[in-house]
Amino acid sequence: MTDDREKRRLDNTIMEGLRSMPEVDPPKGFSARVMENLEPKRPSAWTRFRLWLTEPRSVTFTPVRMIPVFAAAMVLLVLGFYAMDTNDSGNGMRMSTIRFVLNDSGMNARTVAVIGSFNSWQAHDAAMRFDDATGAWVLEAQLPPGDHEYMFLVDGQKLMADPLAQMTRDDGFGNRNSIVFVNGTYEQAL
Amino acid sequence: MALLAFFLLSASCAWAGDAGFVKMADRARECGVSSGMIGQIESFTAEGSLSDAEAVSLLLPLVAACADNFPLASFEDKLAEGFAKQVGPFSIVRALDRKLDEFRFARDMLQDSGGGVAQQALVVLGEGLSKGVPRQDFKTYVSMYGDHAPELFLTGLEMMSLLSQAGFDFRLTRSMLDVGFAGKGLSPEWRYFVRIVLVARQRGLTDDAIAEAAGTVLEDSGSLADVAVHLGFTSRDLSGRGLSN
Repeated sequence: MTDDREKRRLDNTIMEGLRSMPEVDPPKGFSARVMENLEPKRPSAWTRFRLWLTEPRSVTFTPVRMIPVFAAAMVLLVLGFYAMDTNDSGNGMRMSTIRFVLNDSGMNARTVAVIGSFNSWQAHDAAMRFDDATGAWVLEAQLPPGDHEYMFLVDGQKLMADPLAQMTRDDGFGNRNSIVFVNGTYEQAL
Repeated sequence: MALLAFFLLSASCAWAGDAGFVKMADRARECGVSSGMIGQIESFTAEGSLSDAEAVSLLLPLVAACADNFPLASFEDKLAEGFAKQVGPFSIVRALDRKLDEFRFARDMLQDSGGGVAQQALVVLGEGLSKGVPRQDFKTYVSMYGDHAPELFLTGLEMMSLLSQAGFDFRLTRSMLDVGFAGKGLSPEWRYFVRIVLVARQRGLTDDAIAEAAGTVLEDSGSLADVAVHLGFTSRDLSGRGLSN
């Protein structure tokens, strides 16, 4: 109890001393100097990015100055459509989609591929898919203009000429290669 | 011919004992034979499908073609075809040697004509001869039309080569070419005139009738579509899509 009373007395003495102190104005420009030295809080990168995205902006333009921009956009658009339409092989040659079909006709083949001069006679990129509806093996391939020789490779071993090909050639190995003709660009009218 | 091929193969096998496959592969690589093709032969050798001597014999015609400045693509393609069809090395070498022989004949023929050896014409001639076009027909063509503009000459050459491969009478081909060269009506699309012939034959038309229609159209510098119309079918029949459609 005695300790509590002593503490209250001391508090009262200090408070009385503070109240009786003279009022002194801060030095001139003190507030401004304090504020200048305060480091502003830097928002995080994400917050800054979000603010940049959401902050409304106004754009001004004159129609005359926009003409070249629209012209460039149209040129790019036309070139894009042209590139898609020409189906270029990358070396300036126009490619055509050729559909190869081989009727299974009871062969019960497990795999069929088209090997030919257009794919370096490699079967791995030329596997045909079996179409249940027609009972035929089908492959659509992109070929450059020219006359191309090919054969069907059945089950990885048996070579077959295309029974529907209109022209064949002796391959020099005892077989006959089938021939497919692909249009050049100048023949598109046909 | 088979005896000659056997002799060449035997000779190359003997040579292989001295130089070896590695040296031959290096020579082929330096010559511009594709690394993919050399790698394929190396892998066949490594797995024992080909002996070193057989590998050398396969590369010899390619190196010889390179020495003669012939385009290697035709030779590499034949080699790849042989591998894909699992043809024995002896038969592949025979086919490559025959092609080499035909290309040499084609080069000499072009040189003798005085018009220079254009690579495109060389390929059309060499490939055509390899595929059975008679040498005499090409000689006649080069002597008769060799003084025309290169593009026109090449168009006619390819047209004639494909027609010959389709068994079209050379006499009829010449009658069309005479008109085409005289009237300058032989535009590039005519090199695939054989497509018209194949479709027309399927429809029962004779080669004489086809040649007559083509001659009439060429006189007016017409197109292949015009020939089709003359023969009574539409250009839709020549859509250029795969013949296996």
